[in-house]
Amino acid sequence: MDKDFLVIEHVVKTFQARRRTITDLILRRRVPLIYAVNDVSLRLDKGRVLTLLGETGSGKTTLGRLIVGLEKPDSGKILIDGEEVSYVGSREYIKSKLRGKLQIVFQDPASSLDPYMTVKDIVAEPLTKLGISKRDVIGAVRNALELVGLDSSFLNRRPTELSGGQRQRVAIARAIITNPELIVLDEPTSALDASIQAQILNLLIKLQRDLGLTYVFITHDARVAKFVSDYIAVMYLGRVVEYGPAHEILNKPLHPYTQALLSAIPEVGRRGLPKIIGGEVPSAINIPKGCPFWPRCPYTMDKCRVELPKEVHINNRTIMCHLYS
Amino acid sequence: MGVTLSIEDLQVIYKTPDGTIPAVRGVSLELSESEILGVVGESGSGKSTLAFAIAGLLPKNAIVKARKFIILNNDALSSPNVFNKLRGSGVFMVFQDPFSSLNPLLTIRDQLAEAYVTKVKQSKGVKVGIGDVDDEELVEYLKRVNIPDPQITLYKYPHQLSGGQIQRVMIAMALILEPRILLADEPTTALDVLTQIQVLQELKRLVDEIKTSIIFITHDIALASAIGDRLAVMYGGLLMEVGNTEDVIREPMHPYTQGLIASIPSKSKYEGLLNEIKGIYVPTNLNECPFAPRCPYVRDDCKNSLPELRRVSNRFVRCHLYG
Repeated sequence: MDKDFLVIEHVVKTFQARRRTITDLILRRRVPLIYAVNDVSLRLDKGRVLTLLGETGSGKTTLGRLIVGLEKPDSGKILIDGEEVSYVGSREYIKSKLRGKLQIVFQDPASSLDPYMTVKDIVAEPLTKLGISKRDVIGAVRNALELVGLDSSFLNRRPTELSGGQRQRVAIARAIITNPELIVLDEPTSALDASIQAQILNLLIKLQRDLGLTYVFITHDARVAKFVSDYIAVMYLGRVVEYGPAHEILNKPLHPYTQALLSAIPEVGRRGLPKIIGGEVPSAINIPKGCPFWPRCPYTMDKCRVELPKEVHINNRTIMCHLYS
Repeated sequence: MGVTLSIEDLQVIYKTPDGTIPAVRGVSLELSESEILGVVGESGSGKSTLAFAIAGLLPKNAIVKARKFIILNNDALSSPNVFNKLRGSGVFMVFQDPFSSLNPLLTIRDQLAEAYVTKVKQSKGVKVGIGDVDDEELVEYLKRVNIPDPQITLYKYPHQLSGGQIQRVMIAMALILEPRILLADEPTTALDVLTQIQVLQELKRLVDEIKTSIIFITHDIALASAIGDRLAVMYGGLLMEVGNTEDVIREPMHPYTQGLIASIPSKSKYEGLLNEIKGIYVPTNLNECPFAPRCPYVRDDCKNSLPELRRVSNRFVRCHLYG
């Protein structure tokens, strides 16, 4: 089932803005909720790269964690290869045929890898957790390390002895060792030096092609998105405001927020600063009424302040904006 | 145009139990009023150490040597007290890590007021108490850096703000102090793309309004080229290429600069893979070009002698390919 390999249907995920205190209990007061992911629906075919593009607080990381089962949606569901993703802490997870098939690589390898473990143990861990004995995994570990460009001299080193780029290679080796179907990559290159970023991006794309992987790539950098993506979903305050084929979105962004994001990218050779929209992302606790983007939008109409725009389909694209309804 | 900073052959060496580490290996720089110098380099290039040296904030195990080190007509080599006089409205630094740049025990108001008091004292010689500073005055500065609900934010503590907000509070502090030299060490890496541009616009305003000179340190050469009048590319504690932004970007001469520009993602994966600089930074012998292990044009002499920083047409380049 290569078409609609990943299906996200009306997924909502909220967090409590703070812990519920005893005073809240006595006063029967509700703790305000943060809508991290607010009614998101997406579809992606197998072997493709979907980029979640957005700023801090857009919900892109939460959506990535939901896809691999690190969070449990409040409502809605996520299907991969026809099977619903179960929360990693749940009983269904142990029996799930998706177990080991979904992986995630985090932004900062300095904090995502256990500093006391050797590279060998870090990379082997996903397999040993699946019940394969330590003796049988060494071949797979060597193989995974070779795929990410690290030779066997790294086996007994620890993360603190490695550079940022090497650590991220270890994190990637750990992700591919279980032969996953889908990998969520959460800003895998934003903590790296510019000269290392290109190495890691090339490695990720080569692996994706050679192993036929499906990626959900999370980034705030449209330059990175341009290189890796087949599809782009632009997120703003928990919602996908524009979704479609990457080249179409990058060549002709339709949503005013996408336009703003793309215009803010510094380009070599273009002197001076780009003109951009003002304001900052409103807090996710007080999401504006109507369209979440209207306080910063240069095209705000009366309708935008009161009514949430419906999803509109234009050719291959889905847009949430009153300009197109 | 007055010269604000003049450095010749600056060396910073860290003493460690395992030996000495040369972090800055002979950097010469001149900075004028209203000039923005973009310093580009990666981890280990010495770019942050350079900024800390100019701010006089190096740790105790650092040894500083220079032929000339003049900051705002003061000889920085004469006594470490020079920096105490300069810091504030003379030299101001915005740090890379927003969470360690403010005092966690004081409100934003008190820290901004302290800057305000310093400014009044240094410019007018009048002593004012921190409690006497008008809140409205401080709110104006927070508004300029686009802080939401400035009246409320004023009475918050640093941990209640996001990294981007603290970074903007630091910029607000710079706007209050109106420093002659602003050292910005990766001030926008913690920020979102749109906020990043807002902060850069405020920095630019300092230059336009009060002729501040800025040293803008980053690993993103595209960003440096958007804001810098001149670019200085550092590698292994050395300046590798220095020139006007347009010249360097249009025709990069040093193989490292060429690699940096070529490796910026600018195409889709269907148009081929990105150009990459091979390998990682490893410290080399002092009589060897530090970029030699990664250089695509490496020759025998690169490993036997350290090239000089030479004038080549419109700029300075440190590479055996040019002479």
